Amino acid sequence: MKKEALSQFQNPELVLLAFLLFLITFLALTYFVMRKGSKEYYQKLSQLPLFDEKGGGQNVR
Amino acid sequence: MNNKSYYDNQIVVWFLYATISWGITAFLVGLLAALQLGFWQLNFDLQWLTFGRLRPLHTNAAIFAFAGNAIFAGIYHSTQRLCKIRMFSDILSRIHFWGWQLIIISAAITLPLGFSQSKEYAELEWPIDIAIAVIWVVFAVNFFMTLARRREKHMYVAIWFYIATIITVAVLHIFNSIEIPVSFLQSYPVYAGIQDAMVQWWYGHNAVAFFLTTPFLGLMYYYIPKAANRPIYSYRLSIIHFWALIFIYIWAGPHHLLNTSLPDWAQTLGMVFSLMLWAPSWGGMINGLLTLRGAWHLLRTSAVIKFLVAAVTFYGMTTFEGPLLSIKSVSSLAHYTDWIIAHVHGGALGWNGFLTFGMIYYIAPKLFGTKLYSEKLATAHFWIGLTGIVVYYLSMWAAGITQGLMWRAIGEDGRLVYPDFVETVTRIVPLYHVRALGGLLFIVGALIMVYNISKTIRGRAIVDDKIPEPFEKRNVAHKPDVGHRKLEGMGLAFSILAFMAIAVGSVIEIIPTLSMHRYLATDKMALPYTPLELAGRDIYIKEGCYVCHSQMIRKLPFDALRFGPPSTIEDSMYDRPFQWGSKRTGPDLARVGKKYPDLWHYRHMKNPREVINNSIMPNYPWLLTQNTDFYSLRRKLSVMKTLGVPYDDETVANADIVAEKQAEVIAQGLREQGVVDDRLEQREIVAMIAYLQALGHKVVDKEESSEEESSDADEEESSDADTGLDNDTSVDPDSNPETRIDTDITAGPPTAEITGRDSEEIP
Repeated sequence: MKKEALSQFQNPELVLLAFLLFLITFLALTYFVMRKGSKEYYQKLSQLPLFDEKGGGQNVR
Repeated sequence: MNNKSYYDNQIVVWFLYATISWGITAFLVGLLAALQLGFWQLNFDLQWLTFGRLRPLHTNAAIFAFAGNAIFAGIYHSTQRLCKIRMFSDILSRIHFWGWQLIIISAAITLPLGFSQSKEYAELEWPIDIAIAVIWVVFAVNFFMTLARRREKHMYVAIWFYIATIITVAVLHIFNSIEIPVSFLQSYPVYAGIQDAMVQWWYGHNAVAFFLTTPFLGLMYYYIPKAANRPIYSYRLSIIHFWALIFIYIWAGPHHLLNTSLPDWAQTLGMVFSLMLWAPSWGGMINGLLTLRGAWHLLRTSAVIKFLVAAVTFYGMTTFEGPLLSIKSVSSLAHYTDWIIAHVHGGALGWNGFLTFGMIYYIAPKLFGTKLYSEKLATAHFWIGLTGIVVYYLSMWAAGITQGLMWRAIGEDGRLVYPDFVETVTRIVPLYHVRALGGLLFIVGALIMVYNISKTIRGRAIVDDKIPEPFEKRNVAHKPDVGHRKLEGMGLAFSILAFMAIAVGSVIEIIPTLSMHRYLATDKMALPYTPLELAGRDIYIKEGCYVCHSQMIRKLPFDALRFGPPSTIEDSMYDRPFQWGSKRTGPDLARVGKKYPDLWHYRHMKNPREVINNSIMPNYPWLLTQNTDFYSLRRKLSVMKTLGVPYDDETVANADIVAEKQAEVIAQGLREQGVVDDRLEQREIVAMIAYLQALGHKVVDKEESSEEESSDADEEESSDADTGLDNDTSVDPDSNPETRIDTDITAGPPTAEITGRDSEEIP
């Protein structure tokens, strides 16, 4: 029983399922980061490493 | 100073020192190994310095000592600053530092002594494996507790890459290192043959992915904006880059096993996911490079930017080449050749090396509150190092393609154009000399850095950096976060999702290989190694023969013409660890058994040039004087039996005596051909010969096996009556049915021949 269950993992359907899982995650992620209002939010956060020391972040565009 | 208002710079400086020291060591060992391939005499006939033992030392030092310490320096430096808090525990930081250095020292001692599991980048033996796991957990606890206590709500993208690194390396290391100890410094893996190959390359590939790529991408996302003083080009792209990369990378391991006996579905899966890697890899590279948009002038003036930009460019080139090499037809040309060595060093020297140098030049002056001693020297380092990489890369690229084309050249008569393997080696030896020159230039550059940094920090104390107020509190007006934004502030949930992303690919790829019995041909069966062959195999592993010799004849016409019928899953089903190899500096040995007489092997190991003109293989004279460890064989067979190898109890209980009997037969044959040594049967060379002669002769037809068994039975009864011992390795029908090849083996295998063979003349 255990062997049979394990052997099912080589089915291409499962590989396809994994790929679809990736695709759905990828599309959902793209939607989230690209939706309205995200750009400004992330632009601000992207400056985080420039302000982590005293006097940091000068001359940031 | 343990003041929570200040960053812990001390630990960063320690890791920087370790990075530089171990880096120079790794480069020098690499240079010696490179020279040994060009000039075999530089093996010095010393077992501790032979290429087979030095090469693992070089790779381990480069990956875990140089790159490892660089990662830790960068992570300790940037994590504190991105979380606006000192590391969780100074004690854990120091345990991590000293523990890691002790692991490196242990590796530097044990590998040259021949204590090796022979699994690439996982050669270290079980006590060191346990130490690595413990120290990694210490690091993880320190990191995640820092994350839990952070003062900055948002976790910057660099942190995500660190999270993925810490989780995945732990998973990879633990699963690939499951082994059963035989002695204090020897063990056998629980996986065998194809399972071992699959798990090992799942580990090996992802060691590259999650030790040499994701942490360095985290460093890239932190240090390029810092050095250029501008934010990353697209933070949104970095989010897609991260998830796509970690999800896809974990699948690509099987591309190291293309055209082998691995089932086609697994090969295709590895190839397709490798090709998919082009997108996230280049997305990351473009994101890094375009950060300099509007600031390209810094390339002229800043050595740090030069190093970082070149590193990211090498990342782009290497991640273009990697998927290309994963295409089955390209792999058929490149695999086992120096093209792979070129590819690896493009990544290691260009991406990891240059990013580390850029980071060192950036961090070191800041940590000591000063400026770099000489920008000119740093620039000189850059150009000399870059020239070194280009020379190295081009020479190995040319060597690999040249040799690959020679291997596959078939004339109109259907025969190999270059049937002598050594001919394809001697042709590229001049390129090995050029490669060594490239390596030397890279080292010269690194030594300039050592001088420059030492002058920079000389006489100065480490500065105390006061931790500023969190950035978000001052700059980002928070609305209620949803979706990924919310996740970016949730360390635990983020880590669990990252784990799931890498687990999906691992489970779907690895689990089928653990039930490989489905793929085994039912009319064949494999015989376990005799005790003496097993002893010889352990010597083969100790000497690092796998570094230059594969044991996998691919399903390619030119491979079959040169080495014999393609290897099958059965050929290596009792191989713990598997010995498929990844490079052919010498020929494949999967079917070398009985191809040459015993005396040929004796002379070949003593001095390869006695039997093969122009061979570049080192001499192994110590095999002719050192004795085989017969006494550990009972324990070894016992462990093998526990792991499912079908030895019967009698063979296990008398393993040493069985081995000595077989050794006497081989020794007698050698003496008859003129070898003079009173204690020849005890020498390691005899065990090695037994193993080599068995290669390719361990799989038999089941029918044939049954017939032989029944006809041999009567003879054996009478011949063994006086000793009460079987001098063959027979199969216990009751032992471990899980590992058998699918059907009835109650009839038992044929007896492994222990006869005086090979009285042919030496060619």
